[in-house]
Amino acid sequence: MAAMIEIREVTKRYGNFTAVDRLSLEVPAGELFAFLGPNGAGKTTTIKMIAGLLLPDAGSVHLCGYPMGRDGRQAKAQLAYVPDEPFLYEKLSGREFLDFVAEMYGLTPEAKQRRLDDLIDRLEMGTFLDKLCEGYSHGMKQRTVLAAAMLHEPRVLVIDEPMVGLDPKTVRTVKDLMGEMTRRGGTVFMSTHTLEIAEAMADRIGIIHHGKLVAVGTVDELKANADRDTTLEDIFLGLTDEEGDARPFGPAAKRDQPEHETGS
Amino acid sequence: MSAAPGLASAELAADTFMLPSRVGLRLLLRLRMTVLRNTVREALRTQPFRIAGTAMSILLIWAGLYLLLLMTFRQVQQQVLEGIVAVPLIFTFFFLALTGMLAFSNAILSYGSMFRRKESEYLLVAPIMPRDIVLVRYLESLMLSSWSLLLLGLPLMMAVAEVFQETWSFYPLFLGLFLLFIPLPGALGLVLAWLIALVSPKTPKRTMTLILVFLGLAGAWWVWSIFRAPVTSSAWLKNFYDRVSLVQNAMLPHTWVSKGINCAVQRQTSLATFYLWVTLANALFASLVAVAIVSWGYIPAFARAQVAGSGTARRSGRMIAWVADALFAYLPRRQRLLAGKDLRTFFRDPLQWSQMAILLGLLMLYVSNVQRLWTDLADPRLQLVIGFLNLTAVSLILATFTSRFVFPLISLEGQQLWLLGLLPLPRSRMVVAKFLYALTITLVAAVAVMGVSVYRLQLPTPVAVLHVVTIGSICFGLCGVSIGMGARLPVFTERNPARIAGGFGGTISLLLSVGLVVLSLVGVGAMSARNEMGRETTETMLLWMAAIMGVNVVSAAAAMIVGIRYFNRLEV
Repeated sequence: MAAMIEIREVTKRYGNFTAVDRLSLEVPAGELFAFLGPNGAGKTTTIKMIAGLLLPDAGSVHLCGYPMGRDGRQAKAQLAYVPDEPFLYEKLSGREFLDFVAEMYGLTPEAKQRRLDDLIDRLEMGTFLDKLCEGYSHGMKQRTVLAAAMLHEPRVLVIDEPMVGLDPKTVRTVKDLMGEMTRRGGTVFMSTHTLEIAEAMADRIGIIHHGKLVAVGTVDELKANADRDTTLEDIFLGLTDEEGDARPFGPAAKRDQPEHETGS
Repeated sequence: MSAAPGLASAELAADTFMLPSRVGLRLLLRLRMTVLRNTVREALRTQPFRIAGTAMSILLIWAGLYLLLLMTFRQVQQQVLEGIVAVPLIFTFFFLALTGMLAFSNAILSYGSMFRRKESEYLLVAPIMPRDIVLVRYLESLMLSSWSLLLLGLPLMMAVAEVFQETWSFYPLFLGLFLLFIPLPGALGLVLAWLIALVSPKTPKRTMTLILVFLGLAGAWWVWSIFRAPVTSSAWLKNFYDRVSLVQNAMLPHTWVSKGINCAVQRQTSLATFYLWVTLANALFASLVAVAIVSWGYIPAFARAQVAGSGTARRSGRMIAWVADALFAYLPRRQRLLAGKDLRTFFRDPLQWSQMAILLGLLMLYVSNVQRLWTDLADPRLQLVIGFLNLTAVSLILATFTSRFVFPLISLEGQQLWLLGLLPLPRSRMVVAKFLYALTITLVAAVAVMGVSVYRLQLPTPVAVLHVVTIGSICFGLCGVSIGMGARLPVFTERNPARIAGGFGGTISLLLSVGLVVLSLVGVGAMSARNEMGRETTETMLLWMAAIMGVNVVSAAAAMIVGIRYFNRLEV
C-alpha cells in the first residue's frame, strides 16, 4: 500500500540537543497510527515536521508523495493538523471560522453546506456555533477545531492529544470520525499519552524515546516481542525507562529503522 | 491538478488544491475585517465606559501635545533668525526619532505576529501562500503604526498650521507625506523581525534590547559630542552643523519627509509635491522588497523561531536573591520572599529593566550635564526653575513607569492566586508586600536621580531637601495608587503586562497618577516661579512639604484600602 506519510532519516537539532535522531517511518493509507513517547521524547517535533512547521536538519518528509519542505503547499492541501493547544479566532463565531476554513480549502458552497450539516450534527455544535469562540468551553473549542480539520476531507489527519478535556460522548464521536476516515482510505497520525486509547484505536503504534523510534508495530507485535506476557503500559515503561538502554524493538522497528540502527 | 501517484483508490475529496495568491490575500483581509467588526461590536456592547475612558485619555494626550507644540513653535517663531534655522531642524529630529520608534515598534509587532502568534502556525499548515500571510502581517503592523499619525502627526499639523497661518494646500501635503513615510520604517521593521528570527531565534528579546541599547548609547554619544565644547564658541557652531548634516543626508527617508513638510510650511507647493512623490516611490519600493525577502525566507525563519526559549540558560538567582535580601531587609520573611520573586521577574524581563534603565539613564545623563547649558546657572531664579522642571520630568516619568509596570503586578499574580492563596499569608499582606516592593525600587531610582540633579544645580539645602522629600512623597503616592488600583481593577484574563496597563484600569491609574503629580507639584512650582525659596527654610516651605507628604500618603492609603477591600472579597 502507498505510504501517505513517509519520513526518511529525519533529524532535528536544537543547538547541541538532538530532538529527533534519524527517524524513519511510513504510515500507509487507511491506517490509524498512534505515536507514543514520554515528555520531551520528540513527538511534537516530529509532528511539526510532518505539518511543515519545522524543517528537518537532515532527511525528508513526504505527504501523499509530495515533499513537505520549504514550499509544501501541495502536501499541505492533503493535510489537517490539530495541535495540542488548538487555535481558534476568539472574535469569530464558530460558523464564521468554519466558513473561512471552507473557503481557504476551496470548497464549493454546496460541498461546504453538506459537510457542515453533517459535522454540526455529529459533533452537536448547533447550540453554540453562532456565538463568539471566546466564550466556548474547552470541549466546544475542541469540537470546533475538529470540525474545521475534517471539513475539507483531508487525506492525512495529524492530531496531537485529541481526547484531552473531552467528555466521554465527544470522545466516542471523535473515535468514530477517525475510524471512519481510515476506513475511507485516509490516514490518521495521532500523538497521545493515553495508552488505553492507543491500544483500543491504533492499527500500529510507534514509541519514540530520546528522538529515536524504539518500537513500532501492532499491539500484538509489540506484545509478542516482549519477553513475557505483558501490557502496553509495561512495554512503554520498559522502553522509555531512563535507567535502561532503549533499543529498537519489534519487527516493524527493524523494517523502518535504517540498517545501521537495527543491525539488519 | 494531479494527485499523488498510487492514490487512486483513496475515496477522499481533497485534491492538490492551492489557493491562488490574490484569493488568499482577499480571504485573509476579509477575515481581519470580520474579526475587527466583531471586536468593536463586542467592546461597544460590554465595555462602553472603558472605550469612553480610553478615548478621553487619548483626547487629553492629544490636546496636551498640541498645546506643547503650539507653545514651542510660537517661541521659535518669535526669534526670527533662530526660527528660520530651528523649524527645519525640529522636523528633521522629529522624523528621525519617529523612524527609530516606528522601525522598532514594527519589528516587535511583526515578530510577534509572524513568529509567535498561534494563528501563524495555523495558517502555515493551510494551503495559503506564505507571501499572503507576510503581506497581511505587514499591512496590520502599518495600520497599528498609523496611530502615530493620530497621536503625534495631527497635533503637529494643527500646531504648525495655527502658528504659520497655513493655506489649505498644507493639510493634504502634510497628511500625504506623513502617511507615506510610515511604510519606510515599517519595511525596515519587517526585515529586522525576520533577521532576528533567523539569526537569534533563542533570545529575540535580548537581541532587540541590545540593538536598542547600542543605538541609545550611539545617540547619547552623538549628543555629547555636540555639546562637549563651550556652546558660545564659533567652533561649537561649526561642530554642531557638521554633526547635524549627518542626519540631514539627502538619502535618508526622514530627510525627504521633513524637507517636504518644511516646503509645505513655506508654501513651496511644487517642491513639497516632489518630495511627496519621492517618498511614495520609495515607500512602495521598500515595501515590495521587504515583503519579497521575508516571504521568501518566512518558513525557514518560522521553523527557527520555534526554538525560542529552548536554550534558556540555567539561573541560580543567587545574585538577585542577595540584592533582594539587602533591599527588602526591613520586610518580614514571607513578604521578603514575595518581593524577591518580583525582583527576579523584573530583572529577567529585559523589557522592564531596559525601559527603566533607558529612561533613568537618559535623565541621569541630562542632570549630570545640566551645567553645560548655555545659560547662567548662577542666577538663583533659573536654578529654581530648572530644578523644578527636573522634578516635574522625574515625577511624570515615575507616573508612567508605575502605571506601566507597577499597576499590572496584582493582575499578573492573580493567575497564580490559587497557589498564593494556599500560603499562610493574608491577601492584604500580599498587596502591601507589592506596594513595598514597588516603593523600594522606585524610591532608590528616583532619589538617586533627584540627588544628582540638586547636587549638580547646587541648589540651596532647604530647596534640595524640598525636592528630595517631594520626589519621595510622590513615589509613595504613585506606588499606592498603582497597587491600589491594580487590586481594585485587576485583569486576570490577560498575561501581557502591556495590555493590562493599556486597559481601562491602567488608564484610570495613569490619569490618577498624573493628577497626583500635578497636585503635588503645584505648590513647588508656584514657589519656584515667584522665587520664594531661598537659603533659609521658611514656614511656607515647611507647610508645602507637609501638604505634599499628606496628599500623597492620603492618596496612597485611600487607593490601597479600596484595592485591599475588593481584593479580599475577590473569588478567582
